Amino acid sequence: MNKGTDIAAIVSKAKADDLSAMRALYDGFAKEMLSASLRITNSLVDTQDIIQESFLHSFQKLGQLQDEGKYGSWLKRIVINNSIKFVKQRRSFDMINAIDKLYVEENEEPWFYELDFDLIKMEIQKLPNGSREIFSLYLLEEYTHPEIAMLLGVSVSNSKSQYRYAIKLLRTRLMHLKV
Amino acid sequence: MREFEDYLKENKKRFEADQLDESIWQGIESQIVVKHKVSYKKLICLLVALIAILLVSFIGYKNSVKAEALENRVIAQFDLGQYNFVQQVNYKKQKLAEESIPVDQLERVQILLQQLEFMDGQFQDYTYYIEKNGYQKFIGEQILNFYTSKIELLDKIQDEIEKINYYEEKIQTSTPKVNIQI
Repeated sequence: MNKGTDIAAIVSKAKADDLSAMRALYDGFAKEMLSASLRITNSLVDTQDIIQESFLHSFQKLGQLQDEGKYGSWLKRIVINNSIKFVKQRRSFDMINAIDKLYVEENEEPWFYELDFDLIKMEIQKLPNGSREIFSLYLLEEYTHPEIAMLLGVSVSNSKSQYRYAIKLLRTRLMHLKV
Repeated sequence: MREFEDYLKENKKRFEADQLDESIWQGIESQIVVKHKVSYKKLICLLVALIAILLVSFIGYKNSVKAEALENRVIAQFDLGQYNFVQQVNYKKQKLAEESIPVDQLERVQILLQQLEFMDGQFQDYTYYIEKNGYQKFIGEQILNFYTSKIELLDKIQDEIEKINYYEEKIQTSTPKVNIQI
């Protein structure tokens, strides 16, 4: 949604069942929500269902939203929760003994600036399910590890180690591709 | 490695999907429209029901006010106010309405309640007569008898209920109880 756009005003209209206001909210937030959900589910078809369900739920429950300016973060919570609910049944975490074998140079040169973002996106999608979910929630959605642990039903230390594993794996694969 | 993480974080906007399938919105829109149609239908039904209830209540209220005014006029005209008939009847009716009896004993009371209904019909006949022919002495006497009999009947119903409940308490059949509709 464009900066300066008064989200609260649009939400107010949507609360009054204004369909064009709902469409404006959808246009403003759908891409961001789709990406966030896709990083967790890794399935475009399922993500589209989740987005549809989440927007619909948000429109039906708009009356409960007191701070109308916070529609975006409220919707994000709904999308993330629905995505996690979806992947919960199929989740598996990789054994991360391999983490030590992934070599990482601590004071690295900024090698990643030239990387194509589509390539990064693709490699994120290729990460193992459990660690990709944690990677997305922690780094891109800015959830804390205790929050992630609670959401996914894992321990905080597991969340941290899975995140470290994901970031190291991603970095190693991208460096390999660069070479 | 921290720099790599920061770089990804700073550029997270670039992870957003480039395009959206229009069918997602179409699915949302169709469900919103369906829900609106349903809720409009519900709202209309609710409004119609509300208007009907208000109308019936208003007519009932108007009739009861009219009947009460007529009853008071008749009592005043025949100088029967000193007996407090209306107050006595209302008090006894209210007491009966608070009573309940075992459902299988309802028939015993029902016969008496029907008599009460018949008596109320009689009172209406008196008022019609008065409206047509004016206040006549013999009607005044009939009305005095009417109230005396009505109060006796109400007492009889009360006695019957107490008798039923006395035996129920003794035998304790655990039969479900129903309220007296009066």
